[in-house]
Parts: sequence; structure tokens; C-alpha cells
Amino acid sequence: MPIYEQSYRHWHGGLNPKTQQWLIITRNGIKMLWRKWMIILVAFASIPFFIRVAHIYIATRLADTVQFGKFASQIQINPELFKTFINQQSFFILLIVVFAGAGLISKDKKFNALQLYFSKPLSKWDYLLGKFAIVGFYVFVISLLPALLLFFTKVLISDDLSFLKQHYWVPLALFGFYLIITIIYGGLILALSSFGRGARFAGIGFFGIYILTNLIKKILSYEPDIGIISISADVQQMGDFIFGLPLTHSFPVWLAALVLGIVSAGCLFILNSQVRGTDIVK
Amino acid sequence: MSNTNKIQNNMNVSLKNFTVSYGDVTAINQVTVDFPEGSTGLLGINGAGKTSMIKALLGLVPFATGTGTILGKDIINEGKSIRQLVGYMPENDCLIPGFNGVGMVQYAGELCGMYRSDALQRAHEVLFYVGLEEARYRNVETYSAGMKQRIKLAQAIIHDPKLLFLDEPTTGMDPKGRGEMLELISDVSSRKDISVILSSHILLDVERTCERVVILHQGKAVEQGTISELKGKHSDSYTVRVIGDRKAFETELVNKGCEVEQTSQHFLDVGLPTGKGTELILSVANKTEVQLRQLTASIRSLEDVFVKLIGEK
Repeated sequence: MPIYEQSYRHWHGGLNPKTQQWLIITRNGIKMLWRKWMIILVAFASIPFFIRVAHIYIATRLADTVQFGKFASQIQINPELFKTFINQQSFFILLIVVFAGAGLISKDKKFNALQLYFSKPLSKWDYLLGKFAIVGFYVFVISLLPALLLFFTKVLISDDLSFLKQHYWVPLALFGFYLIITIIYGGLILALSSFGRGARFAGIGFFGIYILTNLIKKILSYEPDIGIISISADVQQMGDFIFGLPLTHSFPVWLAALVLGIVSAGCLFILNSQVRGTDIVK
Repeated sequence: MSNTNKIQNNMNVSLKNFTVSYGDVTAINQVTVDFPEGSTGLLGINGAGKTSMIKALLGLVPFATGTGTILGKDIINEGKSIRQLVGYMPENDCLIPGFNGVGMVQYAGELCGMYRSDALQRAHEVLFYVGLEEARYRNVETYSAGMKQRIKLAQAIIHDPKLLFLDEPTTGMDPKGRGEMLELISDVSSRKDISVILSSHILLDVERTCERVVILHQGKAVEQGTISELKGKHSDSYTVRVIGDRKAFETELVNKGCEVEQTSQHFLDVGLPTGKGTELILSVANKTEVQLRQLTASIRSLEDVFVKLIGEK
């Protein structure tokens, strides 16, 4: 037996039959995106969180002091505050969705990586779930995670558990709102990313759809129901509904849900048809 | 048990009435073929259906009709477990962007079900094996064409597959790199018990690395068998050079049931009827009183078999 065989050597380790391939894709995707610009973006997106923490602390612990009493009385700590926090993160959410998601599929298509992926034991849905979860993770980091931390900060610095008893459902509502945002924006960016071989198209397309639908809503503001055309308005409407707040827009919630459902189904349809192991030239 | 029988009992891939269509275009048409253990070359001109067959076997493109097994697993219901046991090196340039060499191969291993640390260790090992040890930490997007071919092989063998599909593995490689790649394939297939299905239109590559061939033409399997079998089977034609009344010689050969074709000014290609040997040509030469200056078997290489078969079709 040779001391060191330079030719091909068999590998005698086992394969894990329960491997969650989508998790591997997600883990590597997150790691790969966690570079300079992403770190800067997440850092900037964290600034509102620290401001809100200060607000909550002042309103809870310093309300009786002379210096902060007047300011503290203006801060209402209720479910709306947490929903508003996520709303205020919208700008960063849009940026991070584009930054994280635009190249996820388009780059794989550019480098013909899909046939490598699909020659491994994973399905199209493993691949898509893995890619989707990358967007979901970064949206989580700048929206749901800080919102939950704000909620638990309030719970922790309160004198009693009355806030928790009264608003125990808020974390669930936050999660629901986060899920809607992630499914819609994440689905849209991945669908756009699957169209081409460059991230730029997906990024421009995403902002194009976002801005255009809002623009149409504004131009046709004399007809309030036309607001359903705006994806962000539909998302807001659903958010208001989940948090039990008065609706921002006049159109019914079920219509917003229907539009968002159609958008999600459309994205799934596009992803199913565009993501293939091999391009078939017709 | 003879070697041939042993091979027949150990089919790696077995297909029946296998059809692959892209809309109206049929790439593979009702093919029934077996790939036993060992190395098999999938031969055919461009567009013959070689890549389509491999991609359909891996589930990368859907197949229209047919049944089959790969390593004893059903291609319709067990695609995922088949892909865990096989490796695939695609034809065209492809890599997973954003990784360095080790990262990409490790990632491929993890996707196959290897544990992370195992995949990392094995990635280093296979990169050494394919000759990319110096470029392991370079971003794969900066690799040259030859290096891309090597890393494609590395990601295909990371999990030590039982069967390896290699689609045009020497495309874009310089002669030295090509030789090394063929050496690696020979090593894997002949000495390490990994079966190989090598698709190529370069006959020399196939002849150098494979024991058997399946010849595809216009979506159909026109011939299959070991290379020596095929050479023997198709060696019923001879190149003949005569001096004298060549017209009479040709006529007499045709009368005796031979197929005669003039390949150049002085040479004839004579196909003998089934069961007849070179004595027939000698006797006709004797009868027509021509001088026989050359009598050699026309089929000398796999290329000759290929040209003959494709020419006939």
C-alpha cells in the first residue's frame, strides 16, 4: 500500500440523507452577501432602532422627570408604534431587498450555475426556498428583529407585566406583517432576477414597479379605490388590518389581500417557468 | 461467468423507449439502450442527442416517454436519490459565482449531502487531484477555460459518485490539458471502479478512455457494444487496389453480391456479403485476371466504424 496515493482516492464518509439543501443555499448566500456594502447598509438601517429604544426608555422610565416629562408624554407606546417602526424601515427594506435579491438568480443564470445546482440532489423548490430565505434573513435583520427587540425592551423596562398582558399578540402581528413584506418584495425581486442574466435589470425593474404603481396611485388619487394598484399601499392596508388599526386607504382589505395574492402567484409562476436546469432554445 | 455476462448483469443505466422532445423537435427518439459498469462513450455528431440524453437522465430536461433505471433506481420516481449517487460535468462553461475554488467544490459537496467539515477536507483533496491545488483560493470567475473544465470535474467527483456523466470534458482545453483530463478520466474509470458515461464527438477521446460505445445519430441509438466488437462487426469491407481490367473486376464482384464503391482513382471499397471472406475477392481477381496490389480491412479505428455507420444513415 502506498504511503500517499496521488491518484484518485475514494471517500468513505457517509452522506446525510436528511440534508436540508435549501438551508445550505441560504447559509452560503447570507455569508457571501455579508460584505462591506451590506454591513454599511445594515448599520445605517439600525440607527432608527436605537432612536426608538431611547424613546421607549424615556417614555417608560423618565416620564416623571423634569427634563424629559414633556417629551415623554408625546410618545405613545402602543401597537401602532411597532408597526410604524417597520413602516419607517421601508426605505431600508427596499434597498436591502434589491441589494440582496437582485443578483441571486440572475448571477446563477449568467454563469450557468443552475445546471450544477439541479444535477445535485435538490429540487427547484429547495433552490427557490434557499434563495428566498436569503432575502428573508436580511429583511428580518432590519425589520422584524429590531421591532421584536423594541417590544421586549419595553416589556423588560416596564415596572410590571401589564404591557405584555395587554399586547401579547404584538410579536405575532409583527411576524405576520414581516411575512407579508418578505413574501411580496422577496417574491418580486426573485421573479425579476430570474428573468435576466444581470442584477441591474432586476434592481431597476423592482424600483420601477414600486415607483410606477405609487405614481399611478397618486395621479389618480381622485379615485381612491385605484390605490389597490400600488403594492406598497396594499401591504400597508394588510399591516393596518393585522395590527387592528384604522385602515389608511379606502379600499377593502380583502381586495388588498387579493391583489397581493395575485402578485405572489404571478411571481411563483414566473419563477417556476424561468428557473430550469437548462435553457431550452425554441 | 464470462466477462460479457458479468457486464450484462450489472447495468448502470438501462433505458427503454426513451424519448426526449423540445416542442416539435425530437432530440431522442424511442431509444432502448443499456450502459453497463465501466466506461462507455456516447458518440454522435453535434445535435445527435447526446447532451439531451444525459440531461434527461439527470432530470434537467423532462423526457416525453420511456422508462429506465440508473444504478437500480427508477428515473421517474427516484431522481433525487439518483443525483446523490452520480456526478455530472456539464458541457458548457458553468460555475457557481462568488466562490473561490475550494468554496465552490465544498458547496457542491454539501449540496450532495456531505457534512460541512467533510466537504471542506474532500474539496482540497479533489482539487489536488484535478490539478488545481495552486488555484484553490482564487475566485472561480477568474479561472481560464481549462481550469473551469477541471473545477467542473472536481465538483462532480467531490462526493465520490458511483457513476460519472461527462459531457464533452475536453472542450476548450489545450493539448496538454486535454491529455491530462483524459488521463484523469481513465484513472477514475479504469482503476477506481467509478463508471463513466462520456459524451463526445471527439472519437480519439472516446477510444482512449472507454471500453464501450453507444453511437447516437438523429436521436436514435444506431450501434452499441465494446469498441473491439464494433470494429470486428464492421470489418466486412476492404480497401482494394488492382491493376488490369478494373471494370470487369468490379462487375464480377457486384455479380457475386458485393457492394463496390470507388473511393479514389486507384482504390475500391469492397463490402463483402454476409458469411464471405477475402477468398471471394481473391477468386474474382483470379477470374478477371487483374493484379491485386492491395487488400486491407477498411475498418481500422473507431472513427472508421463511426463514419461508416453515420454515412449509411
